[in-house]
Amino acid sequence: MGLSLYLALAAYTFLGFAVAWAARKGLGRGLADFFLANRTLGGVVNALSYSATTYSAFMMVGLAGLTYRGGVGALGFELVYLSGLVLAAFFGPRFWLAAKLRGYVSPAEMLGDRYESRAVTLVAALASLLFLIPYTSVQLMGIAYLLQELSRGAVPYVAGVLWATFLALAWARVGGLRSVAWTDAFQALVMLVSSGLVVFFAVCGIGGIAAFFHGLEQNYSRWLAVPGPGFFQFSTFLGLSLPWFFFCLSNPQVSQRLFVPRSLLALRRMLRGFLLFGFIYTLISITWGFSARLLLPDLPNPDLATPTLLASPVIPPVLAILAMLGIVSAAISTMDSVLLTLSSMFARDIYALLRPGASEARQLAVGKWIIPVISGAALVFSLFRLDLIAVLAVSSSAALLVLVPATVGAFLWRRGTAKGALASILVPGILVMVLQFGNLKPLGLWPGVWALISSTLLFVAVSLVTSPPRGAEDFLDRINALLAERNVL
Amino acid sequence: MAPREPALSANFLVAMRSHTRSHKIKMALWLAWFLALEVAAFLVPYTLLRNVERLWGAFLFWNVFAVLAIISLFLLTRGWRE
Repeated sequence: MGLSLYLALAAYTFLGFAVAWAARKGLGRGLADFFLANRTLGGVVNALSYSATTYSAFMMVGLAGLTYRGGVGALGFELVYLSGLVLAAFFGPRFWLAAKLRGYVSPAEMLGDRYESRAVTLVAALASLLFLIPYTSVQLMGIAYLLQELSRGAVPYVAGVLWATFLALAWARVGGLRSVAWTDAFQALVMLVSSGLVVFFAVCGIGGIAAFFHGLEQNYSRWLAVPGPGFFQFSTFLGLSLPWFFFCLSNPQVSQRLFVPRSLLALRRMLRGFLLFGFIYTLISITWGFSARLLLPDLPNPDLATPTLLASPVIPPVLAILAMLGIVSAAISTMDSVLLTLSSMFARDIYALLRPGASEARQLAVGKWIIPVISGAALVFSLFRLDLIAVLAVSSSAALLVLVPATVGAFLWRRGTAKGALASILVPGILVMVLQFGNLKPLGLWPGVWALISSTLLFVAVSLVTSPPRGAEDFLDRINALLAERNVL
Repeated sequence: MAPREPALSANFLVAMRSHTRSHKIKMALWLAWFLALEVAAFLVPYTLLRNVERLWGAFLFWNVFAVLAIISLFLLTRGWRE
């Protein structure tokens, strides 16, 4: 596999750079040009890019492993996440209109403006940086482990980490969101085609689709119910699904994408395209996990399901390499989007607030400069493989839930206040960290569930005893008027 | 922070409020539907289908749930205009 693997990695690198450079053409000099592709992306590219950003290496490694271990609960968990797009359908037009009207570059900036509080912007941006840099480093670690495993050591861990960091950094830096969106779109196609082919060959190896379903019902019927073999107890299902249901609002690398479409109809195409992509990709991932269960029933560790399936005789070696590129694509497309979003937040929400007179050109320069710094931090974390980083990465989906009540309240509740927003982010954020570090699940509930409950209660309670910002009424009336004009609920 | 635009006129706001009343009813109906769908996605496989170890159990249920959610979102966004 050695030479073909190196050739495939070289071809992927070359094609990615070609796409990134081509996308760079026409790049303007403003902050929105670089970080938001000047709010001019079309629906199809946006849909593919949104899909590639949302779906990381977790799908083909983690979710397939969860299916192998716990059965159909993994399907429910992932489809509950997909149905969370209802939040994007509802809040997407609000984000898009507000950003267009007020020139927002980042979701934290939007929150700060709505609540008329620089502290809200700062805290939301810092929370995103704190949790998403470790999340990025875990993506890096995933790529490096996978390359090492599949190449049987020919690509050492450190080389994998360095290569993936270089690509994510370069593709984000070359043309900002233009290059990220187009390389994402290219990578989304690699993800879908490669995983689809693997599943096709795996199911053929089992004896066809009828044999696949028959095998599941005859030999693994417990895997077709929940809690099934035991992993998907209700508390586990709830603890996993709840943070992911709110993902499109809580994670800035995806919520920022709601600012980007060139029109409302492009936003609609993006959401619809993502729904179709997500449904197909989820079914492929679950079939992948079930196929591994049928073909390789005795693995000591479910995390080995994907590497072992790819190394098995039913998958042609060329396809195994393509599938590996699909998984690498999923990870890198998530990483470069996170890098770009965090850089925009640093420039717009932290630097610009600390240096109020800084020009847009200066903010852009800082934003570009910070991309390699954040990449470097993720690189160092992934090289040292610290427990602290793993805990922060694991807690990222739960911890970022604390941004949800303030975000929802920004558009739905006129009484929401800056102090309410701050309390709802800070106190539950600390609570999640304590629960995660202490491995605590009070009343059997996972940290994400506590994050959402405590954050909502604090937001409402503190808002009720403090004064709402003076411009809240005007802000909401204006957005609602624009929504009504466009027949948006 | 972005500068504030001039305030909206009182007449415009009155017109807006009557317009948004029908929107609020539609919104409440959609909200109730999605809430029911999500609650079902969490509860049905753990209650009614708990011991159904067949393809027509939780596997089929979650697929139907996803298709319904996707169709609903297509319908919810159908009337959007520029």
